Amino acid sequence: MKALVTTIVEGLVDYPENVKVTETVGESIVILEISVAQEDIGKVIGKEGRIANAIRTVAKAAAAKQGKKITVEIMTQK
Amino acid sequence: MEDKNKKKFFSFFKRAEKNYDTSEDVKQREFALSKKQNEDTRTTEESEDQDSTKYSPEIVSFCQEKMQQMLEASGISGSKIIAKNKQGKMYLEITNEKETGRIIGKDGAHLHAFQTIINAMAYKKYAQPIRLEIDANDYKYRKLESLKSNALRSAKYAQLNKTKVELEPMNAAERREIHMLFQDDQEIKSFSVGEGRERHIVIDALNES
Repeated sequence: MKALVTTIVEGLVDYPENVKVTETVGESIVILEISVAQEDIGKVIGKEGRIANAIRTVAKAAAAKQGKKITVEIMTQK
Repeated sequence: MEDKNKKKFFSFFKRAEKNYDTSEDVKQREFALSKKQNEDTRTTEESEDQDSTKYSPEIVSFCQEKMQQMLEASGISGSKIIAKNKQGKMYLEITNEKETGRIIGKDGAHLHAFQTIINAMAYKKYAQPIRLEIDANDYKYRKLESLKSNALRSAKYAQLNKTKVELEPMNAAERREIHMLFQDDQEIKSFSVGEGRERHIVIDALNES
C-alpha cells in the first residue's frame, strides 16, 4: 500500500526526493501520511481535492483486497 | 360549453397527432445520433495523422506503463492494457479475467480515480493537458450508451407530456455527451442543475403553443 501511494505521489510532484510516506498498520486499519515539499502540496491535493480524493479511492481499492480500511492524510509542514 | 368540449376534443386530437409525430421525431433523432457517431468515427480515421498524434506514442505508452504499475501495486495482477482510438477519444482498455469488478469500482469510481491520477502524472511529465479515458471491459462505453438511450426515452416522455424530466446525477463527461444529443434540437432543451454530486440534467420539452 505504501509502495502504491509513493509511486503515485512521486509521479505528481516536482521534488520526488522530498516525498515521504509513513505507514501505520493496525489490525484492520492502515493510516498513510504523505508529506511533500511545500511547493508540491497543491499538486498532490489538486483542484477541490480532486487528486487527493483519487489517491484515497485507489488506496481504498488496494486495501479492500486485504480486507482493511485505509486513511490517507496529506500533512502540511509546520 | 360546447366550445370548450370542442376545444377539448381538438386538443386530444392534436395530442394524438403529436404522439405520432414525436415517436417519429425520436426515431429521427436516434437516426441522427447513429449517423453522427458514424461521422465521428470516420473523422477520427481520416484525421488520424494529425489528431491522434496529439498524444504521441511515447505519452500513450508512458500512461500504459504507469497504469500497469498502479494495478500491480494495488495487488491486481494479470491485466492487459490496450490503447484504442474510439470516436475521437483515446481509450486505455484494461482487460482482466478475475478482478474487473475491483478495477471498475462502485459506479466506475476506481476507473475514474485511476484516470484522474494517470492524466495528472502525464500532465506533470509532458506539460500538456492529456485526457485519456480509462475503461475496463467496455464498462464506460456501455454505460454511456445506456445513458444516451435512457435520455432519448425521457425526451420522448417529456415531449408527449409537455413537461420536464430530471435525469439521474451524472459526472461531467457523461452530462456533456447527453447535452450534445440535444444541442441541435429545436423542441428539446437540456440543462444541468444542482451542485457537486447532485448535479444532473433536466430535459425540457418547450411548449410551442
